[in-house]
Amino acid sequence: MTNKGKTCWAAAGRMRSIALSLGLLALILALAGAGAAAAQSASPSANRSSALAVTDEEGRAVQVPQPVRRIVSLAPNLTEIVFALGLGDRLVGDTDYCNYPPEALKKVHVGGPVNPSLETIVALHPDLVLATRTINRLATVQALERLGVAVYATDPHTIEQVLSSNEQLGRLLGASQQGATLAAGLRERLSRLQLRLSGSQPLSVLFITWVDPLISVGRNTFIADALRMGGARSVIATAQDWPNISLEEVVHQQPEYLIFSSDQPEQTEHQIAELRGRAGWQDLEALRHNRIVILSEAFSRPAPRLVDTIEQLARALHPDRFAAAHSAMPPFAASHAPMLSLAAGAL
Amino acid sequence: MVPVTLARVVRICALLTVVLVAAVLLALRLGAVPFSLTDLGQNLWWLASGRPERLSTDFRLIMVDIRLPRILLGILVGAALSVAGASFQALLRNPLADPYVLGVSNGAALGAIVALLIAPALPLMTPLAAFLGATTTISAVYLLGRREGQLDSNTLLLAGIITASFLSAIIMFLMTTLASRDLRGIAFWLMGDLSTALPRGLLWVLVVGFLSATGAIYTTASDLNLLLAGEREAMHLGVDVTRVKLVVYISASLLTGLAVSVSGAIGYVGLLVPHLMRMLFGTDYRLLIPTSALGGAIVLVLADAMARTVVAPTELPVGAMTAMAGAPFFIYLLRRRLP
Repeated sequence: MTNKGKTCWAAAGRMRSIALSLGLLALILALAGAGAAAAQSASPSANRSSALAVTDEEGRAVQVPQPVRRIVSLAPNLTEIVFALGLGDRLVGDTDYCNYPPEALKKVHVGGPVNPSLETIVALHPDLVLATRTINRLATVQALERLGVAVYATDPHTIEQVLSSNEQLGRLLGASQQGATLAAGLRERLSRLQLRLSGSQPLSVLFITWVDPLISVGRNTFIADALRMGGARSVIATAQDWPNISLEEVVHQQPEYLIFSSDQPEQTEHQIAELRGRAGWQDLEALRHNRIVILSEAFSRPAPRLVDTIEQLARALHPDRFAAAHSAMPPFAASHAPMLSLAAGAL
Repeated sequence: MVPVTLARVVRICALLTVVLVAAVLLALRLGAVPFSLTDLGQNLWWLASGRPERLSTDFRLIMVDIRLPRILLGILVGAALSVAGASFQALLRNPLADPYVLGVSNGAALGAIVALLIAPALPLMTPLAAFLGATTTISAVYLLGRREGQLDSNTLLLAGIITASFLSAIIMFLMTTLASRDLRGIAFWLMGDLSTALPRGLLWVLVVGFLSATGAIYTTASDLNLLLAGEREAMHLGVDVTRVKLVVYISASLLTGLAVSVSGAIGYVGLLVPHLMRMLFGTDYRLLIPTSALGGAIVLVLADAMARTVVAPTELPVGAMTAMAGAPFFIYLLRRRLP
């Protein structure tokens, strides 16, 4: 190419690229403008009679439209709470992992809790979306907020917070009475349990959230608190909520029990059988003497059923405390029985 | 080879624009919530003709507020990554260069994560930190890739891969030690993700940043052609090599930083697209830059449409889609270079 040609080309190229940029800019402007206009005319909650101004457990200010007729839950525990409040018919959508109660499986699924489809959520026209901080992404919450959908996020770190979360959701969803009754009943059961366990030494345990890699729970989780209420003490007490821990540390601590929480107990038993053959795990006294408790998945869900599993844990760890009252019947009712194996004379 | 003329550039760009529009229409059609073609056509016409008040509520909420902004984001990110890839390939005289392979995406991701950890509330901090991360990384990789004062292709590639894994190790360290506010979010975002609707203001920053950086790179297109033959040769032919390299470095890092800060580390787009465009239309940068931008937009819009629909309503990270197609392609290019 000659020098002159090159200059010519460059000038033309510059003009063309400017024209191209302007064209693209105009297109995007038009689309964004149209979008903005549409957004203004939309204002989904404009015709609402009232809204409840609250601060959610993440500290975000939320305007909850009243009454809440359509609920989308983004986590299994929230789905359970909505049903426990007797509001199952107002739940219009939940996640792929919401498996309790069985009616939850029949709801429209909006995807997994981490990567739900915003489109599907919005298409359900929810008055309120429920999220929970440990499972859902902040980005999802913020995106819904920008789309004009009210999101209330829970973030319980203790059993008391799980219960007060229940009460608060009852208030927001127009079921204050049910919420209060539910929480009062659960508190009553827990205080009876504490009375029964009073004076007994808490047993040291390792709660296993995940095996490969080995993940337990930190001290500021509701699970650590649930362990305390069930007469146990986690050997792991990190500030991090879901710490990766080293097997060496566990072997050093020698917890008296290993605690699992699983929705597929058979699979967990297989896994335990496999662990018995592994170096390191073999050195765990709890595994050698079969001091293992497998609780249902409800133990890792901050919802009302958590209290059932706390009671199961207490019975498994401190059977002597329950022996007198239930001498006539086996210690575990069939439907609630944790899969557990206790070595004879372990205590 | 067919000479690059203005008419040819315009013709090819027009062709690619038509393909892009078709891809956008297809992407608008696909999604977790189905819309019929007539519905789509009717509502789009109302939208285009400035009568948004006629739109159905669902269309407004899902198409205008979610799907369309997401497609626009895909266009911008895809174009930015491809132009950045094409630029790095010329700058480093290495056809396997790509923001992801060279570790630049990881550098930007590290910057963005640090910004998220330190100041999650400031919106513009993240792109800025991602940009700084990207520039620092490319400088480091460039220095590491030199042997006896000359850029060595294989050393450079290795330097990029080592830097990338070093940076991911730091990211893992930060993620496991700091009790982060939104760990899951970061993990998902790292895989490359377009799913979260961005604030409109940020989309504007992206548009302006993309146009100015691409424009700046385009002014050096002829010089880049000469630079491909070698720095010394280009210098003899009158190219201000230092200036060109500086402009392209900063602009390509800016493009990568912008793309990563809004969408995480989406791999292989910057590698795959410029190569496809070279195969189709030749190696001249005056043609390669605009075609890469359009091609990148097309590829990412389609990849994201697949990510949205393959396991709907659950979303796949779009980075997984591009890596699935891009990694085998990378191997192919690598093998082809061998004698």
